[in-house]
Amino acid sequence: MGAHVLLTSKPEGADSLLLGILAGLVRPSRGTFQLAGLSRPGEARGGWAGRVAYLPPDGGFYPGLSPWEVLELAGRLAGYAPAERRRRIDEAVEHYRLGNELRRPTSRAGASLAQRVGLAAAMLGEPEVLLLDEPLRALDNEERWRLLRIPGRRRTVLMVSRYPAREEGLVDEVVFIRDGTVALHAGVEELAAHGMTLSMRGIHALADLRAARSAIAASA
Amino acid sequence: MSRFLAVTGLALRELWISYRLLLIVGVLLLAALPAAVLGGVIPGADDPLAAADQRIQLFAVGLAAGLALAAGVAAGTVATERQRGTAGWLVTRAVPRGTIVTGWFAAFAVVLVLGIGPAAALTWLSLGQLAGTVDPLAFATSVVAALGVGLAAVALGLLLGSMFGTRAAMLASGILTAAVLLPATSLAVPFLVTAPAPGAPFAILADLADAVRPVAESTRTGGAALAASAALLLLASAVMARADL
Repeated sequence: MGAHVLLTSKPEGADSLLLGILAGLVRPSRGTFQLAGLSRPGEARGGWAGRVAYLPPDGGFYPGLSPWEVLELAGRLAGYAPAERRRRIDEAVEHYRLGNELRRPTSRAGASLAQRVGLAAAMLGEPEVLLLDEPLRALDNEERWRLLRIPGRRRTVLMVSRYPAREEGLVDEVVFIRDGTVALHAGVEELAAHGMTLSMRGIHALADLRAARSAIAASA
Repeated sequence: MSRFLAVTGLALRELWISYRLLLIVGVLLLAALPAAVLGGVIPGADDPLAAADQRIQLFAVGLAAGLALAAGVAAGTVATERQRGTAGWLVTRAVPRGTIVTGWFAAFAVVLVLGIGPAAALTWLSLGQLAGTVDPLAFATSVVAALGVGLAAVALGLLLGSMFGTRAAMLASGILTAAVLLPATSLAVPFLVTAPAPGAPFAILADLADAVRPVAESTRTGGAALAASAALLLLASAVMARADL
């Protein structure tokens, strides 16, 4: 079953770099990993696409394209036949509320629209794994929550965020990378069990607590 | 194939809306202007053959400058694609990295044809009565060979754009292309044609009267330029495959 994981790091940026590596955009200096049952993009026909989707903070697409053109291109590149493409685009337009700005270049429509279009394009292929880097920062909390409650029991969502408190209710696991190693991998309920909130302070505190317990156990 | 066409179409659209297409086509069309305007006032133009040669040489100089610009723009375009994440957006949608390079190459090839074709036609028309002194087939093949050199220049730009930042890649590609092509328009044909020099088609174009077998030489040097384009394109794809996007 897919998990919804919050990924955060200290120093900042390591989390985004890891997401770039998982997306196949950045070459790791060493090490291997598996994603959606594949160990490298070449194992899937056409790379990760279709199995894994990646959404950078600004959407990442061509700013001169309109939302409709972005979705049309994403659908074409995903290999959907015209009728199927049209159906999926229509659904995305409705769900992401793109109707009013559908034919206007996204560069003229503001960050909010660009981020919604980016997520809509990423979700068009119904990926198994969704890599989100600081998603939908420009949206108000209510709309952001509505769109980021990604449906699908088997879909894994890995979300980088520097403001964990904003992700309350959207994630059920937390991974904290400190100085290049995983300092904490815990369920959100474990934070609550220790009276800590889903925040950088709470995540740091739980990581320190775990480290201290490990040190005591090792010395004993 | 469909992904290649999608990237080429996208690249052409990007070149159009950013005015880069108009800039390159415009500068290449301007290459025909000096031949038309200045050709008649060049001293020593009494000999019709020499006069025609001088006008075509001016066209070759303008063309070389236009191709240096095209190489610089190609380099800057690919570097920007990498840095702003749009190349990454395509890669995460099953577009192979090599297809991004070849798609942009095809788009620039279309732009070069749109610019060089009409510019060559304008130059030929501007020759007027002097056109009778020049073999039209020799002129046409040397222009096509120059187009081959232009494709190699664009491929060089794509290679450098895959390696360096926008400004460095633009400057390196533009200066390198200009440094090879501009002097070639003033050098003696036999020297460049016997050696497989990259600017040889420009030497032939600029000095059609002195070329012994201009059609054969243009075909051979143009073919060499196309082979160089293919090699540079393969290299650019390999570099792009290892680049962080």
